[in-house]
Amino acid sequence: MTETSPRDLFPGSLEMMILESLRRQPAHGYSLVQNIQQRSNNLLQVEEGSLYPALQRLLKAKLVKAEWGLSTTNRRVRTYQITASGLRHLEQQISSFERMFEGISLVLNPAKSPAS
Amino acid sequence: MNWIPNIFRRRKLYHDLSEEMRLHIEERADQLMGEGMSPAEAQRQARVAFGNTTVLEERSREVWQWPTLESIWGDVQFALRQLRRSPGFAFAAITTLALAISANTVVFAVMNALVLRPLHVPSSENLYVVGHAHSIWGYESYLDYRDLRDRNRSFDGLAADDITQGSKRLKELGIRVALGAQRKELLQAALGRAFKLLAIGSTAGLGLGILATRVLSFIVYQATPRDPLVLAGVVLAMAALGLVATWIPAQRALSVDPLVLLREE
Repeated sequence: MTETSPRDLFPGSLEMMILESLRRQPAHGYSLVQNIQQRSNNLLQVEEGSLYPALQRLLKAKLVKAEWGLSTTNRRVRTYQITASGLRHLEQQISSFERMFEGISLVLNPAKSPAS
Repeated sequence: MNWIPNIFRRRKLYHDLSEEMRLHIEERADQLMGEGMSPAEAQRQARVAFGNTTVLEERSREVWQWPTLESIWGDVQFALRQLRRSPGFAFAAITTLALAISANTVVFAVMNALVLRPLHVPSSENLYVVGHAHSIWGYESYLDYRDLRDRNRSFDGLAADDITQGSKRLKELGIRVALGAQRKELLQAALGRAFKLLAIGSTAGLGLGILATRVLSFIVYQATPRDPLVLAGVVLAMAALGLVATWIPAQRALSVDPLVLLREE
């Protein structure tokens, strides 16, 4: 069992990854986990269940909506879909994340910074 | 504000959530079985991968809650259950609170009326009482008042009023002084009456108090309210307070010219 929880990432990162996955295609919880783990080359070993608190937060903020239905493999699943405000929120999050990431890497690798 | 509908939707929200989590574990287990794992081992692996279901479910539910309010509500319910379990303690606690609160209310009501509340007139800070320097009561004869009113240049206006209404005892004392009673006698009479009242009150209070401690000592741990020192202290304090409370007005009444008291009809 991995100890990784969303608190070990920076706040909101799990939500951001969920929104990004949902932007590509609607999905249910299980396939979201698969998706995130595969696309991170298994570097992010997120505890599968930790997805659900994040999904509830997104539901409450109306950034995603959920509906019960049948999956392609004929299982009963609750499929999540990103909403319009979810898309807007994702754009903002990504741009502020990129700025933060750039700042952090400048601090960690001063040699690459154009100023010095 | 979407928390109001959320309260009523909550049962469905929670149900959806646990159902979803259950299906997630099931799907993982099915996949593991498809890879050739035994059903029991697949179940175990799926649960391990998922994490602590209870904690995760709780954390997910918290998202919808108003956590502080709900925990306060929980505390209140717990307190009520505790009170129902020990009605004796509940009775003692509630009675104590009721007595203390009512005593405080009375004291505050008096203080509020006498000290805190401003007079019910516009710009009450410009209101003055006119009186003679030698008389602490500020009594004036009507003729004096008329003179003052007519020659007044310092105030916007003047009005006469009896602000010591209800001091019948005072008048009675005045009459008795006028009839030739000695100061000492009068003081004794006034204090004697107060003393009688105080004695009756203290005895009754003492009896009730001892009775109450019988009940209380079952309930309140380590209470020794029958401690004679405490009882004597309380009675003495109350008596002293009562005597001072009668002595001061009696002294005041006696220091006033009896004729002034009688003239105030």
